[in-house]
Amino acid sequence: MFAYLKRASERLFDSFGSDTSVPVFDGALKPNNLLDVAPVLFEHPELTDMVLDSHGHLMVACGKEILKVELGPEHLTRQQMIELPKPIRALCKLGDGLVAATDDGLLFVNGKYDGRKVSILDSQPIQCVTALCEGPDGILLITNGSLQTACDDWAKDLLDGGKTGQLLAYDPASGKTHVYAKKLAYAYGVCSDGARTLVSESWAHRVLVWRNGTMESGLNELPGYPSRISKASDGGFWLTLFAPRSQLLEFVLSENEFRTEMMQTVDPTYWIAPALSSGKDFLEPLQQGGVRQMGVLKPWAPARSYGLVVKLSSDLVPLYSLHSRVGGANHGIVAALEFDGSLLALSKGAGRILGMPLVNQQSQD
Amino acid sequence: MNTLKKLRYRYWPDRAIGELLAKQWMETAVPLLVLLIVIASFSSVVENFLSFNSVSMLLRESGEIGFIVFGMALVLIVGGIDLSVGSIYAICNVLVLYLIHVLEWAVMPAIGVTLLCGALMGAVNGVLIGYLKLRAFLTTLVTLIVFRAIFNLIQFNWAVEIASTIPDSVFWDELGNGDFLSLPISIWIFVVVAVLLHIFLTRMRGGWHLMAVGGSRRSAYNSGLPVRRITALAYVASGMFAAVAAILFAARVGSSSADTGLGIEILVLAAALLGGIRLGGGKGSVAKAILGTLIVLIVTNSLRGLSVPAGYIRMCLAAIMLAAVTLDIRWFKNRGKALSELYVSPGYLDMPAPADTAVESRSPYAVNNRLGSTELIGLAQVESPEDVILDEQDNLYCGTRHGDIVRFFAPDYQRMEVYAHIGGQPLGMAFDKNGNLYVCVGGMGLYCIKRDSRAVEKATDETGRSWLSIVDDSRLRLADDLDIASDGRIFFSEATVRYEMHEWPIDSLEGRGNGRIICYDPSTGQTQTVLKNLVFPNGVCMASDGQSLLFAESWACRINRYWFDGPKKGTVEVIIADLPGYPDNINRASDGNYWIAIMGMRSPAFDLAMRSPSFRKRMVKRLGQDEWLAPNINVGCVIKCTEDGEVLESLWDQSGENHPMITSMREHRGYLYLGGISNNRIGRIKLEDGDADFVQFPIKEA
Repeated sequence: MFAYLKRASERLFDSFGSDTSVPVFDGALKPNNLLDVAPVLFEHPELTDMVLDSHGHLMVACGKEILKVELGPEHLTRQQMIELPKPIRALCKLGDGLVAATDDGLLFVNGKYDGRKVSILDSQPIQCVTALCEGPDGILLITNGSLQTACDDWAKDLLDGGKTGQLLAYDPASGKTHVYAKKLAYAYGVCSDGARTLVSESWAHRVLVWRNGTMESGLNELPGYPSRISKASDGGFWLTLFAPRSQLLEFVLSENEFRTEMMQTVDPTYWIAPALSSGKDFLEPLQQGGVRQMGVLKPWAPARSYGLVVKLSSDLVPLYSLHSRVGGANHGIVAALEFDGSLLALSKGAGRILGMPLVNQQSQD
Repeated sequence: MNTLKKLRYRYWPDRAIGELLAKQWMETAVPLLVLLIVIASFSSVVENFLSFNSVSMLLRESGEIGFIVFGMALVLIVGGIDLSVGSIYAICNVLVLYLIHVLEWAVMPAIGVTLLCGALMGAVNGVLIGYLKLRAFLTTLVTLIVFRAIFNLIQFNWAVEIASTIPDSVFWDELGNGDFLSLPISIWIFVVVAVLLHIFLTRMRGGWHLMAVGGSRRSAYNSGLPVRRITALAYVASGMFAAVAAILFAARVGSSSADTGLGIEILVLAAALLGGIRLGGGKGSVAKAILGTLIVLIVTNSLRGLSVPAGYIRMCLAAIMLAAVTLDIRWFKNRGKALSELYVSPGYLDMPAPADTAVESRSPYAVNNRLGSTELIGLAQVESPEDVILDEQDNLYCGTRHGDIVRFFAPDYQRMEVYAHIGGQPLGMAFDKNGNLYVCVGGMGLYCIKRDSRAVEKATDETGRSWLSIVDDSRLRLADDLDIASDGRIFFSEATVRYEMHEWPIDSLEGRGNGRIICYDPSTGQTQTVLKNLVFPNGVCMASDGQSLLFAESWACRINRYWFDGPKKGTVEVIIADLPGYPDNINRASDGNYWIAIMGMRSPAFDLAMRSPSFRKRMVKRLGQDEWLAPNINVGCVIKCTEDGEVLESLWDQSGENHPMITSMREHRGYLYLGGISNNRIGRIKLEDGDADFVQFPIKEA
């Protein structure tokens, strides 16, 4: 009733459509195809996360394995470090070693706490850890996506309007866990630069800042769902967005009857929801703007998947961005980091790690 | 529950709202409604409202004011405004009284001179605004002041003389107070002038020029219309109409006072705006002017009859004007948008589960890449070749979205020429026995290109109008595919009666039975609708018995067979009910089976949306067209089926590079030729077991 009146008044005063509108890609987020033309450095269908360890080597989580990848000028070597019983969801460096998160819990690999397994945090079994980061004083910052749905079912959490994400801090020295924030709409990325911690709250399409015990707002109104964040060498950050927002999805989120029926009767791969990659299967939903004309798919067609990495300044102001537009291959970027003068981006939708030299990106309009 | 839903969406006429709003005459329906509401509300409040006397008084007044409203309407239509009508009215009033009372002229010359005077005053406005291009508002405001000043001077000098004589002309008395068939004579004059003005505005060139100048001054200028003269003449007409009203008023009242016509321009403007005549120009009609006059006069007279003080009446008028202008601007600005939202009325479409297309399934629809390496003809040279056809010399013909029929010459199909230009978007094609090419042209109808002279002839573009349809379905909007029976009758499909060629994807969101199959008989020239309420009928193909035809219903994903002759005449049977996609054209294969093009594939989310009409309705209202869900017409395939509906095989272009959407295929001498409406190429593939002599339309050598 209220919603109906609100819409009628919006109609009269011409602010119609404000509840399904989505921010446009403009300014620092003006679309380009840098991610599509970037060289592919490494390919594996189950790529999930990557991190630089304390010696500066690139460690990549693929499926159940952690691989050490050497990207030489002519050659590429990969060496398996360890294989875990379940697929790895997140990876980070902690001190001298690594921490890997699976559906069973956290596993510490190499370094001081090698072999330690943690399966319960804050009296909850660990189920859906999406990102890990090393915090100040050697604590481990953990984001939990959702307490209700498994990691692979993130689309279900989005359509359900899930708000059970958490930001946790685990101190390996004492074994204690602190819950910094609860009831986040799918926390999917964490990064700390000493004084403050950035957390991406995906379904709320924003980045929050945790400082001195309070949560402040950082960057709001993103045109996509943010995921992992990493530090840049100049004090800024690299923010990845793994899926685009769309007006049709905002509309479907407000249509309860249709949404519940869709979630009950239709296969999850074919829901009206964003995806990490799209365009290969004709059973996926299509929007009118996505119809090919004269053999051409227009680049600004409504997107079901998208590739986007944004460079933020230390004040969390977007400076420039790298895109893979509709019709491109490298969508679903979930991790980005700086390595040896290049930017590496991990595309989970395509199963690739892309690398671009950093010098080029400075001059963007 | 679902059957209830199905019945509700089939029989409840929610599409009537959108269709009614799309009609041109609906614009006049709004002030008519307001008038009826005003009459109803005031007749219950004011006593003797509907008595003969008060109605007669009302008609007399509206007969006078109405003339000024006509003049104002003409000026508004041409894009200007005339605030000086009150002053012109006053001067003409005192002038005619002076001429008749004091100078004792005969009535007709006095009327003639007064009309001339009104015209001259209007011409002052006309020259200043039309030729010197001054702003209408300021100029007429100035002339209002100047003419009123002149009036005050004149009236002061002549008042006593006018009052002290009484003319003894019977004609003058009759004009003012006489009746004819118990209605005042001024009303009869008004009616005659209204009819003539209506004919002038709607049927005569002068009226069209007036509307053109008001609608778009620059375009009218570029078309060569004398814009300045037309504008000036509109002001002259306004002055003359004000003079007519003044004459009738003078005949009725017979005396002058200093406040004649004071403030009458507000009343007249309110009447014009309330009737729906736009301030911006280009829109207006006599009916709207009359309705506006009646509304304003009823409101002011009733309020006066209720002893409401004059100040409140003025405020009421001002409020009415404000409301009318606001509604007019908002309605006019949003009419297109509101119309496009209200017009789409989604229906309930429940389909059986689709057949399996998975690569690993054993079904004949399994995805493959048999069309992955076709030979391309006309790449980037033709756009939207929806259908392709070949003649007995193997030349290839296709339509393009520029309205051409293009011919590619055998055997290599490199050289092309425009065979004929029709217009519209040519869709399905067929050759008759003599080699004349019949083409269904979307947006135009069924056309024929003569073989010898290549002359384009219209076969038919209209059929019988159904009684219960609000939309005028006698015109053919989207003639899609055709086939020719053995006796020469042409059966063709009209995909939808509610949408035009350029907006056919919107019909996919409706999923209603908006289409029909029509029969045209060239020997008699008669056109007749044979089947109605079909869901986007698309491909049509004659069956082997010569008494029936196969046709596709696209959004319902089924193929039907219709008997038009023989013992089963009139029956329709579904032969394939569970297609995994949306069928388009159907053509004969060389082995007695049929090729069917599937232009798009079903997806579970869209199928669910087709069962949720209210969801689609809200989606159409709240999202822009680019964001709407669409059937997946980016991927298509070709299937072969028997006459009983058994699907034998399917051919796909798995990558979608060359043939993302296939709307038609034609088998000819062992090759299969593919066309697509969103594509800019034709594909050709050799069929391993195709008959090397097979021609679908054998042409009799003359």
